[in-house]
Amino acid sequence: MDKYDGIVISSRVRLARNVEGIPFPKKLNDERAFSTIMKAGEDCAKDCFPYKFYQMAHLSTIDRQAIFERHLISRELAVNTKNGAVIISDSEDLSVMINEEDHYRIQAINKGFDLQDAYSRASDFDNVLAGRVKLAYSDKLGYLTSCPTNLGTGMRASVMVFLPALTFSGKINSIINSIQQLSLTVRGVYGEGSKAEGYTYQISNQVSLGQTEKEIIDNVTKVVDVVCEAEIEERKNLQSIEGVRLTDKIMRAYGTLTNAYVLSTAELLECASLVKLGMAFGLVRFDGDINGLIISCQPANLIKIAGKNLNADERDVFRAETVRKVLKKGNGGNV
Amino acid sequence: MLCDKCKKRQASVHIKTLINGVYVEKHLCSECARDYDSELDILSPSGIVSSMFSTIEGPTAKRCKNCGTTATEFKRSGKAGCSECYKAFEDTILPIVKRVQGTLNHVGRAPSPVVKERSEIDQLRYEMEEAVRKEDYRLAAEIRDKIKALEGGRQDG
Ligand SMILES: [Zn+2]
Ligand SMILES: [Zn+2]
Repeated sequence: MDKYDGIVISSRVRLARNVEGIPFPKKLNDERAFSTIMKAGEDCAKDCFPYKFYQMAHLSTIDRQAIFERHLISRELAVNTKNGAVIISDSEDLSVMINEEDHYRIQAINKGFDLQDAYSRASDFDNVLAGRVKLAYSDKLGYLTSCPTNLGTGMRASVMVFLPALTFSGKINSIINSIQQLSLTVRGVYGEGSKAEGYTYQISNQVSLGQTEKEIIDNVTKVVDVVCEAEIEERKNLQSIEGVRLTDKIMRAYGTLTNAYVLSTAELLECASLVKLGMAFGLVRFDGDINGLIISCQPANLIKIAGKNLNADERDVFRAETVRKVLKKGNGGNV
Repeated sequence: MLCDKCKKRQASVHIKTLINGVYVEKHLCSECARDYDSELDILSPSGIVSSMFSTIEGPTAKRCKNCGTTATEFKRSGKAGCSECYKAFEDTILPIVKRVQGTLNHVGRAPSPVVKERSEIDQLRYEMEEAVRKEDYRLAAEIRDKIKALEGGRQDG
């Protein structure tokens, strides 16, 4: 068990890469250049791991949204049916977005607190890519990217964290402020801007130039460490201040998930967050993957599971049914 | 109780959240609760089109020879059009880089190409897929036979 189980959800490293001389996707209208880029990407995947390759133009809206909900592609790529494509490793721990803002966005993900692992897997792919195409690079500015905010290493290292106690107490705001002063960014994963539904945040480096890859990883790791310790402390406070009222809230949320017959995404997210906190407090036992459950209950993923189109009302009913079943199977129960 | 949002239908979903130490309660009807349900129309292609029009500027405008992006266009969008733009408008770009990144000195790693050696069978499989893609089925069949022979040889040995 990891030290920050129940706080850190996942770690991710993304590398932005482009082919020298070929205009960036937004400026590119040459079909042949597009297929060159796609083919080089796919050739690298062949050399690296079992994978699936999808062109956005060949996927239905539901399929594209489902991949987006699984955090494997960005919204921008999901709507790029002109020339967007993605390579996804069969284990879903690595994806390469093709023709997003840059020709290649290599991203490696793991479910623990291990940026180094994510970096080394992303850079394995990067090295193979560099063996197949001439990457745009200058000694002074590093990897050349469409947006100057990604120059240098082309790297974004981010950790997704679940911070209910710091959110409840409002201390998250001062933490966000101090993190921003360290040239890191924090944003809510669900919902817009700083309003983090599901109490889930992403902490990542803001600058990519002037630091080595290792320095970036070390900085983000160090800050996430501090934030996690603060969350642990705040959870203790929360328990002693709120006491039985908090337990009541958590168990009511658990009651909703195990008994509801109609469940919206928002209500699921809210209740599942409380249940996650309950699991951390030892109030609720659930051996399954609750973060995975939240993802599979997002609209498009739910439709994929159902195997047929469902309207919003039908989804709410099917979502409730799915959650009830999964929670029973995962030996859920109050301790 | 009426829905907080539409104030028309009965609220059936009750969401209670502690935000900044204050309890915030939301009572929503199933209809409005669904708006939270990141609707399926999020994938409407809106942002993409506008960026595809390039600015019309006079022939004297400073322009990247490789991709046609002008310095003004770069200033407006904040995005380079290709890797050559960084040389073409160095004077315009470098101050912006300095502002967003705080420095102009890359210290991270440089590309370190690795060429993966394919096994003979992998290489043949690869060539077979290529042949199929080019619809050269005769070649594909020939390669398939070679693969079979190699695999057979392996089993016997
Ligand atoms: Zn309503
Ligand atoms: Zn250019």
